[in-house]
Amino acid sequence: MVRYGMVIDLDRCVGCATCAVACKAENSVTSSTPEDYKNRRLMEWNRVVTVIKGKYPNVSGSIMPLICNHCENPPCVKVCPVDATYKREDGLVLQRYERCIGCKYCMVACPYQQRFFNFSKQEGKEYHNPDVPPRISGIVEKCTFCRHRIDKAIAEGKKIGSPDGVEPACTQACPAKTRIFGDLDDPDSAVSKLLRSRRNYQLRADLGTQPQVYYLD
Amino acid sequence: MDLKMKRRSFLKLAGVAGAATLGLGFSGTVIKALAQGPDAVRDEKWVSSVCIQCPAGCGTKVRVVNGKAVKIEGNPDHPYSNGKLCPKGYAGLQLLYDVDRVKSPMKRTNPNKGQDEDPKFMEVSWDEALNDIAAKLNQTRNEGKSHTVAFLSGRNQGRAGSVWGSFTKLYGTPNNIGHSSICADASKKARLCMDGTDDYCAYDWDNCNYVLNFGGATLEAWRPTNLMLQKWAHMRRGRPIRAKQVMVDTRYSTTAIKADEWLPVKPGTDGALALGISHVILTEGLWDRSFAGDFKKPGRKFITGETVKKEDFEEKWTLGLIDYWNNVLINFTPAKASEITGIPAEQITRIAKEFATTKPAIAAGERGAGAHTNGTYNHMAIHALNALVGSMFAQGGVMYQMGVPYASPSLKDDDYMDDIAKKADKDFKAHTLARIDEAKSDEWPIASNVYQNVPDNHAKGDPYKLSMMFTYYTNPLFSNPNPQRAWEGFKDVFMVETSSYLSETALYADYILPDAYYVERKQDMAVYASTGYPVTGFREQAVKPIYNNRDSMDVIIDLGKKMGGKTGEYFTKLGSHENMLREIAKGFEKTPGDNGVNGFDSWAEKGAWYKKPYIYRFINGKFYEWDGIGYNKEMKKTEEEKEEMKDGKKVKTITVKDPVKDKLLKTKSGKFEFRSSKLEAFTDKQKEILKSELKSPELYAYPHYEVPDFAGEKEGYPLHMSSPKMITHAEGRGANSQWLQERFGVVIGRGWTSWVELNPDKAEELGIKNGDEVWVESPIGKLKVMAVINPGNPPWLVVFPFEHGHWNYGRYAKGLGANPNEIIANLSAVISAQSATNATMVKVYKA
Amino acid sequence: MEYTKINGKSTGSYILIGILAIMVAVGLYEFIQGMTQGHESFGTSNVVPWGLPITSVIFFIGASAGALMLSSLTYVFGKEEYKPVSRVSIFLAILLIIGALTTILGELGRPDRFMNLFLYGPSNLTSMFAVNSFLYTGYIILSIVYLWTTFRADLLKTTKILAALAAILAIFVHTGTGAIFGFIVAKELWFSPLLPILFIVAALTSGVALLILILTVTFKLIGYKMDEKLVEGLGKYLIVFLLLQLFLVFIENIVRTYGGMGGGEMSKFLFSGPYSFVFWGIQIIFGTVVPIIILSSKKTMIKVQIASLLAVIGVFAERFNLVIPGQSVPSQQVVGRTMMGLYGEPAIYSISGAEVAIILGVVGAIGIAYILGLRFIKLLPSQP
Repeated sequence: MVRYGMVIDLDRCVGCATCAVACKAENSVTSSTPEDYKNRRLMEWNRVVTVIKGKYPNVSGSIMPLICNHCENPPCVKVCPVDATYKREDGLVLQRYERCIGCKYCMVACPYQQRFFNFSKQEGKEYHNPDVPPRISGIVEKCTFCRHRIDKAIAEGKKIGSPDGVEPACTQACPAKTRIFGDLDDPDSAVSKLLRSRRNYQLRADLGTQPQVYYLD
Repeated sequence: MDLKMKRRSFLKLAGVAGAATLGLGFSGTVIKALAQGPDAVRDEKWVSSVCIQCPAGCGTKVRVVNGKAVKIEGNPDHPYSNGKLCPKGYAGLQLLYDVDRVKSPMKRTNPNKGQDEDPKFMEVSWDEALNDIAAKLNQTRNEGKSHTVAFLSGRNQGRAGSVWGSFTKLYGTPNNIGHSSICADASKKARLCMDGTDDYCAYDWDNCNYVLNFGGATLEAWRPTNLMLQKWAHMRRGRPIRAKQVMVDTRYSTTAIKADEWLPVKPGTDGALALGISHVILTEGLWDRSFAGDFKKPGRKFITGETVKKEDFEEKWTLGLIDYWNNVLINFTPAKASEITGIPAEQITRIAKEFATTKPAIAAGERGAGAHTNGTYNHMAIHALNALVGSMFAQGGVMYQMGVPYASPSLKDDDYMDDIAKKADKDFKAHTLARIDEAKSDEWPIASNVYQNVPDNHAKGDPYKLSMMFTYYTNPLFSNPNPQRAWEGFKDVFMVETSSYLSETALYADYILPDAYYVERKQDMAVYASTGYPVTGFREQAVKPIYNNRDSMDVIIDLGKKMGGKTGEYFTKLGSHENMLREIAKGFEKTPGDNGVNGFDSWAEKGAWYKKPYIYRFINGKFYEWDGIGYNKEMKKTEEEKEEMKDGKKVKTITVKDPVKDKLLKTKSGKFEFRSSKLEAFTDKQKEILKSELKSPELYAYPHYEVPDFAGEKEGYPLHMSSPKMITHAEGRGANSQWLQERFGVVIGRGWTSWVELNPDKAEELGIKNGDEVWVESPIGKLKVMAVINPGNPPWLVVFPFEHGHWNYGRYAKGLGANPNEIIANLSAVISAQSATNATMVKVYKA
Repeated sequence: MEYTKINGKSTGSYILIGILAIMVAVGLYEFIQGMTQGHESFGTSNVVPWGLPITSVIFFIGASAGALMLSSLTYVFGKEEYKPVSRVSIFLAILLIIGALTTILGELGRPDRFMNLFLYGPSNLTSMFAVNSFLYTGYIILSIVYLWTTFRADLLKTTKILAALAAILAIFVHTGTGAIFGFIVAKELWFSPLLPILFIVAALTSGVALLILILTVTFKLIGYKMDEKLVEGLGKYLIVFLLLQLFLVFIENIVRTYGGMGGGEMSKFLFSGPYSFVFWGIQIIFGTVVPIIILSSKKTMIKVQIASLLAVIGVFAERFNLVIPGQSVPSQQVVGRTMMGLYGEPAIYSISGAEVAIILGVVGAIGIAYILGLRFIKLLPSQP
């Protein structure tokens, strides 16, 4: 069975946030205004955060991208009262926009804060991706591993996964080739190989969510 | 199982039906879109283009669906993109579809100009605008004042440069002013003085194993940003040997976070560090003997404090090393460097040894080291390191970008110079007519531009007052240090602005001739220095201009046509921007690119012409040229004997051809000069002026540590201020993109705001908490900004990035944040005229 | 035991209904705004998606469960002295839970799709919301039947059975409500097995206290005399519940200070963060300790009434301190490190007019239903 996941090599990450912008462009995600930002309503399916430890001159920092981890044991799927968010057999945790009632239970359940609520109707912009229409107000959305690309590839029989198959927009966009996407159950895939090559960890593994996004230091 | 399926599908049906009935109009869009889906009939294509958000020139592919641009991605066939872009590239979509763009040519009806003045623009037609401007230009010209018309440009790529150049030449003004002095000219002029090339270096990152970087923010704004990011990651994890990255910078930047070692030098002291390192390399005997030569007695090293006799050392490809040692480096020990820079001496010694023994190594630097009054000399010391370790033109070292073999234009603008134009040219060359910024005058003999002095010079009327100004991709009322001078000074200049957005300069303009955004037009783009081998991208028109915008180059060509006379003749013959592109593309017929591009059509389709490899290489003490198979053709000095008839007598002439001097080390001696003949060739007057600005005038021709000046130091302002650019900052043209604004500070974690970074201890001392509003005050003025704590910054530094503080530029930029330029004093580096934007000191206190 | 209706035709009564109707109208307006324009005017954010409405929902459910459990005193435990208020308490319980569900509707992003809860709920019963929607529905139906049986003296045995069932269901309902929060691993301030128990105790407290307050106000307005013994008796239960509450809050937080998920940072946030005043000032001191002190001395009706008021405020603050700081505390994606920028700072939730309007609208609707209920149904004990 296919199990899609992502491996992020933090040694390569250069803190450019291209992944974040490419994701917004690809998925027609609403842009924010300064008020939205101050009110913590920024929609960022993919974001880049920095953690700094210590202070000058004994200081070290870490820059890392965060996305939905498409967990194997997703707390958001567990709590959705209308089964609008579900885990697909190939590993993607997806959202049925037409069913979501906007109760936001999944948002409080996600330990990674990677679910976003549409506080207002999304304006259609000319530059929105026609493959990913903007969402209505009152529902929750999040990273889909660019399911529109994956579904299209499945339909067309194309290869899926780094380095030469169809990838999510963030993976494709990263100039530092930080991210690898692919089938974690296939020992020959680039993701599996990279995962074997070094120490890796998942975020908040202690919570038992079994994230499928792995980080290499 | 069966039952479950049935029930699920029933429920699904019920649910959809229920949702459909209850959903009413709310889910309409979703249902419609789902019905359409990705299979709906659409006209989709991917068009090659080149991003314009920075000088790199990364090739892009624009996805156009039903005439709308919906995605910009990297062009896999462009060697700078390799299919990737930095975040600015993607944000181009928002700039294209910015609803606040200037939608047609505008004419000012309110004669008063000022920050609070409403220009009261009215729409005019192109013809009306251009006719009026052409008439004014002709009138000024006929009054003998053609030199009072200035053309200020920023991002003029490709043919834009030649169109402006021709226009100014034929018009008869020397004032074709570029912005390079508010960019990073210090490094270029330093190289010019030492190895004869006035350009940024190209770098063989793929093969480099050690990088000593002085003030170049690799991961934020060191162009070509996109390629830098790719190469960084490649050098870390993309090859068996992981390169070491050492970052010398005053602040805890993204690059400092990711580098192996961060050396937090005191501002303006990068040169001292480079000198200390050079000292160690020489005293430890670690210099590259195949490039710099050796003592006649092998094994001898330089000894601190001991002068060396010139005859004891035989230089190979360098000149002046011994003078350099005897005059500058002899006592510049790590201890001395440590005292100046604040870096521990042991670390300096260790880094020097590593740098010299981990080959190939690159010493690089950019604006961080250059934006100080001693910036040029800092860069000379830094560039000298490359010579000392044999990195010049070596594998894994530094080189210079090769030019693109465009076909020469058949139309020569020189042939169309009328008397006024010829006179202006003659007078400028004879130094009787100066440029408004005084570049190339005795004040600034080798500076390309002194952009930042234009407002003062105009206001003073020295050398003269300007009457008209054209601006192209530049915003002097915003991007200048202390732009308040321009706010005041440019009130009486007739301004024509080509920006498609309401920039500050646009608000001062008498006419706005809105440019088409890059996606809406064609252009060529020979890349910024990086790969060494030549690359040029092509910008194909992906979408039709959304508003009544036009490609500015076609506008200027039209303007030229309307001028009449010889200028009109020239531009009429020139025809259009596209004609120019077709013509230069003919050069590819002779030299097809590696990807098969051999003419205009294939160039436009593929989006890039390039030809690998870089054809020169320094190997084991000799220079070689690429012969198609390898670096096999040694570049030797040849002597050619010619016999010819002169005055009836047979005369033997011996011409010496020195390919290394012609193509690589383009100095007077054909060598890398530690003692610059370029500077020594200054006239006495020029030397006098230069020396009067130095604290160590006797060392004017050497790389040396010039104690930097800081504005505000004498007055007792306690904190240094650095004003860097973030990766989300698109040369002052990205403030209206929400995607860039909302994640403006990736390390700081803030968006939609300006900020000053403070060290936590310093903040505590000043009673400032994270997020507080503070005043940042310099001798020029003060600004109210939000303070953020960056635990990594040293306590003597505040960091105030450049981006915000626009008067307009669209609803997302208008009134947001503050512009650090408004408190940065107008100081310049000697020799290069680099604007010393990191040389202002400030004080910070709670608001 | 005789029950009676109120007259309900006085001017005061109509004015009161009028005021409540205005509240309903404003609430309805904000609800429709929210449904058509989106929740822009709410004070919630992507970090704190649950705000005052959810707080009110769990408060109402708690009060409802508490009131219902109170009625079981009469029929299950045979305490006849509480029979006079048994009908009112059941009626209030029904109104409060319906009010809670209405508030939930106002809180949903897409209230027009609420039927999905019933259509798809059964396919995901790990979701407490789904389970609760069935529990609440059952609870309402049972309570209505239960109330109806109290009117039939001949069905006393059925009433007693239903009372027991209702009490048990009330416990389940409120455990379920507590479990909404208790099962969430993501929020360190919520993930605790103590939460359902805390909820039940809070339900009892708020149920009793709210009942006392509403009865006091009702009797005052219709000019009845309150049975002092009754109130003082209820006061005894109140102090027990308040002490239990204090104990549970103490236990929960003291354990957290020793470490564990979030390393004690969460407790620190609660004790000294932006909401510390609501915690210490309103919930602990004002809402728990002071009523305990008041009730420790000899009970008089006035004292019990004051203590009830404080207890209600205290329970509401407790709900608030659960919902808001739980979300507001900076989440620890990278445990032990602070993130730069807003991510590393607590998200401050600001109470917005729209949300308050919706809640007040529901309160108004409950009020109108209550008044009309008193008028058309024999709920109140007749004065001797």
